[in-house]
Amino acid sequence: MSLNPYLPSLATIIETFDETPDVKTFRVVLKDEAAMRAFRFEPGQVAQLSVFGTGESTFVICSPPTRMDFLQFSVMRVGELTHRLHTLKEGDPIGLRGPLGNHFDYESMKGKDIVFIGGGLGLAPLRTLLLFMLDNRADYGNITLIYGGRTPEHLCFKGELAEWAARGDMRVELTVDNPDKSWSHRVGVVPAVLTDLAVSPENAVAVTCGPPIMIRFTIQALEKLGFTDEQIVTTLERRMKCGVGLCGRCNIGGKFVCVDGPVFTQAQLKELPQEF
Amino acid sequence: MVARFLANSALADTAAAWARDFRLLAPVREGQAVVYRAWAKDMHPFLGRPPTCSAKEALLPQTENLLTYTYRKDQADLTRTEVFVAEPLPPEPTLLLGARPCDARGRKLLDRVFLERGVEDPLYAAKRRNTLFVTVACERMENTCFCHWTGGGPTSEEGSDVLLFAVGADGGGYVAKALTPEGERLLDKLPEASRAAQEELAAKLASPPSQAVPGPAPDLSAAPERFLKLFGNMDFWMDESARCLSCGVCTYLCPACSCFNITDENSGMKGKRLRTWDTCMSALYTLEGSGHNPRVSRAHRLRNRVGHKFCYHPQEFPKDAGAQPEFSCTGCGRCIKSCPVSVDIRRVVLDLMEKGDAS
Amino acid sequence: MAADADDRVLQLRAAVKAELANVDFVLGYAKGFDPLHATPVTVRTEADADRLIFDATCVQNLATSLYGLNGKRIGLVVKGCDSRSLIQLMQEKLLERSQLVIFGLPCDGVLDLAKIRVKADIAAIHGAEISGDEVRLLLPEGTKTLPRRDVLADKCLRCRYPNPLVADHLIGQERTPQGAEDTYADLDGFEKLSPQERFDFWKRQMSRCIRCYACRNACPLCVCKHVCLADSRDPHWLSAEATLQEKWLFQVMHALHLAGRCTECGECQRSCPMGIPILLLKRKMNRELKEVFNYEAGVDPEAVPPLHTFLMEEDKIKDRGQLW
Ligand SMILES: Cc1cc2nc3c(=O)[nH]c(=O)nc-3n(C[C@H](O)[C@H](O)[C@H](O)COP(=O)(O)OP(=O)(O)OC[C@H]3O[C@@H](n4cnc5c(N)ncnc54)[C@H](O)[C@@H]3O)c2cc1C
Ligand code: SF4
Ligand code: SF4
Ligand code: SF4
Ligand code: SF4
Ligand code: FES
Repeated sequence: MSLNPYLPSLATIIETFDETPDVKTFRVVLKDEAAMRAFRFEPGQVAQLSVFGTGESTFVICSPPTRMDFLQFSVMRVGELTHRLHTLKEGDPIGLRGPLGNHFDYESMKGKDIVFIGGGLGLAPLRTLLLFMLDNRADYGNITLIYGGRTPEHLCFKGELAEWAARGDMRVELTVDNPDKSWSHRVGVVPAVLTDLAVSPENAVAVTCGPPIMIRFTIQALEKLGFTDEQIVTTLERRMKCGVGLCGRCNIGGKFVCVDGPVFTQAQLKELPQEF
Repeated sequence: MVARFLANSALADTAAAWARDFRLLAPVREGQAVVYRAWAKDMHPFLGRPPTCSAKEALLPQTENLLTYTYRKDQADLTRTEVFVAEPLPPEPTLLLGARPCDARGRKLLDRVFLERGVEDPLYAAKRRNTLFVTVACERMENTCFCHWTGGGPTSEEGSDVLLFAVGADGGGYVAKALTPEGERLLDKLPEASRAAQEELAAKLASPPSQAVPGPAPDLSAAPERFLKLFGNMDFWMDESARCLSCGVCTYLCPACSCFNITDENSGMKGKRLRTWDTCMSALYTLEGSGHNPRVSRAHRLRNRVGHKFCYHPQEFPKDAGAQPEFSCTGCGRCIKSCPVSVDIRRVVLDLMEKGDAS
Repeated sequence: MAADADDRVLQLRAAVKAELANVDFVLGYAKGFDPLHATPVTVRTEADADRLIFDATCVQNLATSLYGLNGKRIGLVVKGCDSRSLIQLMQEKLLERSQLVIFGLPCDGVLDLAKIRVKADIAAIHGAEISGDEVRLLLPEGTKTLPRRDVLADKCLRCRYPNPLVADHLIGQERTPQGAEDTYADLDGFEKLSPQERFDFWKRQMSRCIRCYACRNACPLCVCKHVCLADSRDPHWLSAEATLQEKWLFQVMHALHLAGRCTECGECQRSCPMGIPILLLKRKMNRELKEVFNYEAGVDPEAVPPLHTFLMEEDKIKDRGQLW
């Protein structure tokens, strides 16, 4: 293998399906079977997906390292590369560089209660950690997922949500801003649900990801509930290119989201110059 | 190592000889600009003024290929395509003539990013390994020069393979001092510098002409901390950046700026992935697909440029306590000299020192 | 230089101070890092106002700084040529007259540092004196005197509007124009070259371009800034490569987008760090516009730029009837 960090491995899309009108999930394997068998990553790490001729973008590997039949990515259609990705089908070749970035510190979360708080596609990075924890269920305390979206249609991983709720060893709370007639869960924004449930900070860790506004109010709600900065974990998004700390653009102060992140505790974020 | 002599009259022939072994880049005068050009037969290298562009082009070209790719249809099943990816060819050995000591020091700052930060950049590393710098020592400092603020000086040897000192003796030319074994090899055909030339040089170095040095360097050891103090003071940054045009002059001419973009250029069934210079002074640099931009204004962007050079870099590469921090700026002054609106990074840093203290 | 020079700066400072209460801030010029450089400043306080200067080093066109300041009330120091940019912006409804308090200063011409740099090494200059028809440069190696006309910007040598065409405060005596009708002699001379020679000229010149886009960002009328086609991937007209083709295409785009709008303030060329004579391209467009539509940009606030409208019958465009 080349040591060139810009050179993607060739990969093949083996399956795609729609999550929402603008989010599509891709299941991908490396073309080189030995490389695929040797591929290791940690929950929360990302990869750069390439469509040669269009470019590269960063996506979190949202399948867990405990399930290595394929690597899964869920992609929201927003711009050039993501539009092009959405046109690809099973069998099409892409490039993959990764794993990149840091990961969730699941070791330090062992024995604790875990509260996942997600909005929209923000569930993608939470999913990898959640599945990892479910695959190592005995290591963790109570697991709660609070997940919301604009409408029922905008919720990702819909099939799995029902599965998780039915498991019995975790709690799932769903909410939307605008319900439709068939909606039987909560209505309202995620931070309000959090406050409503009065989640206890006792021996707990909150892991949150979603649109910037949701994260802001979620963190405020968590603080009110008594969560300390060390107990709040979040992931950041920045425009990225190289993914390896060289091209410069993803910095927040002296830290690079691509190598020092994307996972940060609220305590770490407070140490950084406030440029979000 | 013996000091050699490069007579003005021998400059063109010597350069031509080097050009047989290297891709030679040498500065020439074109109107008000002094630009590096690839060696051509009738070229007259001009070493009299610092080149308009920094020397980084030799190590970090404005455009380079990261890879090339080709799509091919599967002949058995035409709905299927395969893609083939190739790495770029290794770079040619290069010799850069006519950089200044501030440019040569820029190499060290680029090394920090591309070799020492974490992941080694193989394209940069390959160029770095086979590029030599024949640098011209400065006889005086210009109004925009402040290399002595950031750890350099008009005759600093750091980062050069050969340093040329202008002398008037022996019909005029340069006393050439090799600083590396490769540099020594470059000079082995040149005569030894005469005693007169060496004495002239020694005298010059002992007493630089008085108007040459624009005043003592301020103590900037507290710059990183002052910067952080003023980070959230948007009024400060708005005033410092009010006239900035958000162009790429300062960053593209800077020997230490290293930010780049990656884009694909497609043509038919093949294409390339490019690495090109990018500038943190552009709004597009951090614009996200959602429309969110963490650096919406020129104030945010100037703050990042200054912050990177005078705070984040020294924090990332700390020096011993008490030593002057290493800044990601060699004090070459190009960003001042060529800025269309005369934004002066020295002024910004001095304002930081002053106002960051008061607040 | 006119005898009112010093006086005028004092008048300017007084006028600015008197208006400070009525504006968010005033944009003017202050001393830059050396005797040949001025720099734009934001004036908010009386102390700031005391830094204001006005002389031949005040080269920048501050109309450019108005970009993005909509909704603010701004004081602006302008020369004759700068006032034309304001008029053009107002014609295009990109600027409201009521937004501005204009301090107009009749102008004796500004220096072209590119010209001076060819004649002298001014990088270590420690003084400059500009008198009637001489510029004295105090250089480390001694004093060098140059005829003023040799180092004034070309636009000043042919200037017909040294007195601001729009102003709330006209400060100083009006100047007599130095230039007569523009003969485009420079362009004529250039066009005498063969196509191959012209091509070679631009090839050489443009190969220096570093794609910094100072030319674009310094232009007061180039109002797309960061949504410029040059940076767009959709449509994808220019690649990121620093090739001659991309560099040239951008200049053609700039010239075409400025046709009938460019006031020849020269900021594009002045801002170019690589000394590329790109104003010539805009002058070519302007001469055509002048010939076809008898139009000059930024002179008459009531006029409509010719490419913003059409006449059923154009004077200089032959109607060949319906050939379809
Ligand atoms: C750590 C991290 C994890 C992410 N995970 C996911 C994910 O799992 N699913 C998902 O749909 N999206 C994710 N994103 C966002 C995703 O990277 C962008 O939406 C995507 O790059 C947009 O690319 P584009 O070419 O379609 O958009 P354009 O707007 O055309 O962008 C062009 C270029 O800008 C950059 N860019 C634009 N927006 C962003 C952005 N928001 N973040 C980073 N770079 C950007 C990319 O380099 C891209 O090549 C993640 C971003 C980061 C930083
Ligand atoms: S500081 Fe000067 S050179 Fe840099 S972006 Fe602003 S205007 Fe351009
Ligand atoms: S920041 Fe300015 S002075 Fe410092 S190295 Fe870069 S161009 Fe030179
Ligand atoms: S194109 Fe050049 S000369 Fe014309 S208005 Fe713009 S900056 Fe001025
Ligand atoms: S200012 Fe000059 S170097 Fe910069 S993009 Fe324009 S023409 Fe090119
Ligand atoms: S993406 Fe290049 S430095 Fe982070």
